[in-house]
Amino acid sequence: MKAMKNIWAIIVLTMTNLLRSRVYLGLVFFMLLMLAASQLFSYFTFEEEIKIVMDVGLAGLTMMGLLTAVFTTAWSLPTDLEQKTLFMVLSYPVSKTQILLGKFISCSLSVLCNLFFMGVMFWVLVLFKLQDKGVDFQYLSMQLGKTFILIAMESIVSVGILLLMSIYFTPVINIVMFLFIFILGHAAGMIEVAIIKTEFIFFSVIRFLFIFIPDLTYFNIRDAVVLNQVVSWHYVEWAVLYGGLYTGLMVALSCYLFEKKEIV
Amino acid sequence: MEEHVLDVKNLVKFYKGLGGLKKVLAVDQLSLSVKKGEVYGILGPNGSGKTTLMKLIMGLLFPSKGQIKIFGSSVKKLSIKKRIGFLPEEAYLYRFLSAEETLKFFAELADVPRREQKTRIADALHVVGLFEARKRPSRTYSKGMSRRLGLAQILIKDPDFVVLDEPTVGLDPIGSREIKEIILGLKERGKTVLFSSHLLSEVEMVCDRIGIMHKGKLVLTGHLNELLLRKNEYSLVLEGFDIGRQSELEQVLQKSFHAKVISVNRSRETMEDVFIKTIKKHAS
Ligand SMILES: Nc1ncnc2c1ncn2[C@@H]1O[C@H](COP(=O)(O)OP(=O)(O)O)[C@@H](O)[C@H]1O
Ligand SMILES: [Mg+2]
Repeated sequence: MKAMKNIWAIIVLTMTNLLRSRVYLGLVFFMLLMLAASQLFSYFTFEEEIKIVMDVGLAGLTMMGLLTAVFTTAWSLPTDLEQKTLFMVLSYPVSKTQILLGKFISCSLSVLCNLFFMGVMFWVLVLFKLQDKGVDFQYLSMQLGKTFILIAMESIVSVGILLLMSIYFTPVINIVMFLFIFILGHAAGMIEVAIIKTEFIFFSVIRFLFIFIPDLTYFNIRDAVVLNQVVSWHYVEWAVLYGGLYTGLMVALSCYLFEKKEIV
Repeated sequence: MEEHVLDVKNLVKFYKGLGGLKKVLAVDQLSLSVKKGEVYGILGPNGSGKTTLMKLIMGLLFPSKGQIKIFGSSVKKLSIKKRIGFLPEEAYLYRFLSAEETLKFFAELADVPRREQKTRIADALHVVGLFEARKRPSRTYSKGMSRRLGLAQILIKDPDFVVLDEPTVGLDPIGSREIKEIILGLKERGKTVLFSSHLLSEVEMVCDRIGIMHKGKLVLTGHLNELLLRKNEYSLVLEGFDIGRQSELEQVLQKSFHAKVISVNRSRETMEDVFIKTIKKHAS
């Protein structure tokens, strides 16, 4: 009960900080830019246009999710540690785990909010472009919905990874490392296949590392949706379960390590 | 048995240097206990380990060796923290919150009932003199205002044991007098206070007991009176005395009391008193 109250207080605090900082303005600006960009392609033929709008729009949405994750999470804890605000906070009956959970929830919420608003805008835009073109709206909305869900999941996995690294690293180092993990995560399948085919010990070491890097390809169904291939709900469920477990692990590990860290 | 609010035993703290190689010994085999209702001052030059000691007591740092008990249990216990208030070396505040919002946040963490929050926050803001500035973001506050907001946070929480790290450093005489008065107010209300300082006069003004810290060790501890009062020596303050008749007085004292006059001085105001009186006169 008290734990919930503490976490809630931290969420209110973190959200206030985010809303009053300029991070949000930047993200909104980016959102509008993406929307404008998707209008640039109207001189293509209709089939091409809709494909490009989908492609660019969904990629933009993914970027938006990642950017929000990075800009909220990479700075949150390091700022508190650097400005030493935790000195006073930790003199209250609130645990470091509760602080971290509050931060995780706040960062995830802002990611979800941003994705939700941009997703709805994108959806309206697509429907608007496709009206009177004899397209099955319900089917398309379903496909888009699945894509949105997985983009959101990938962003939350990113929040988890960024949160863990933010305990030890400054924002810039954190972001560089995150990009590295992100790229590897998207190449995971390919690299693993290549590695299995070789026999060198060196590669088994790399393979071992891949246990810790999430396979982010699970969350990328944009190509399938753009090419109009069916993605089953069953697949979405499994991908969300995978993402949820991975994130849970990251958050649990973060809390464990943060409890052991001295606040200097 | 007398209740000890704080019990520190054989405390050692190393800071790990670069790469964990070179170690800095910041607290060295330190033992200390503070009784209920006492104001204890840790006096020491810069770098003697005062801040490190306070962070260890608050559980921000972990001891390399030794143990710390507050109200008989470890600081790791969350419920203990309800009874401790802490003001760090600088009041590190959330720069985007106003004084009012800051105190609201801390009141939530301190479990102050919602219906009491408003009045308690307003009262604390009045006590520390921040009521006018309560709506401004704290990044616009001066150093003294930040410190006072840090103190207000303790008043809201109303803990039994208060830990203050150099509460008056960097403040003007009025600011530091106000803070001393707040400390004395806490003492009057039966709170236990541990605070550090490198200013001798300030420790003298408010402490019951002091410990002098040097290179991580407590090198001298004792009651202020034991340490400062000279044995068998008293001073007499006279009004309307004719200084021309000093030798007469000395003779009387010698004859009737067998007391020897050691020195005769004119009473002086302290510069602090003069300064504060002057400013107050101009303010009204
Ligand atoms: N984070 C740190 N890492 C390494 N050494 C430190 C750190 N903080 C303080 N020290 C060293 O520990 C000693 C005690 O410092 P401190 O507790 O801040 O003293 P004080 O508060 O009495 O000025 C000093 O020698 C200081 O250089
Ligand atoms: Mg200090």
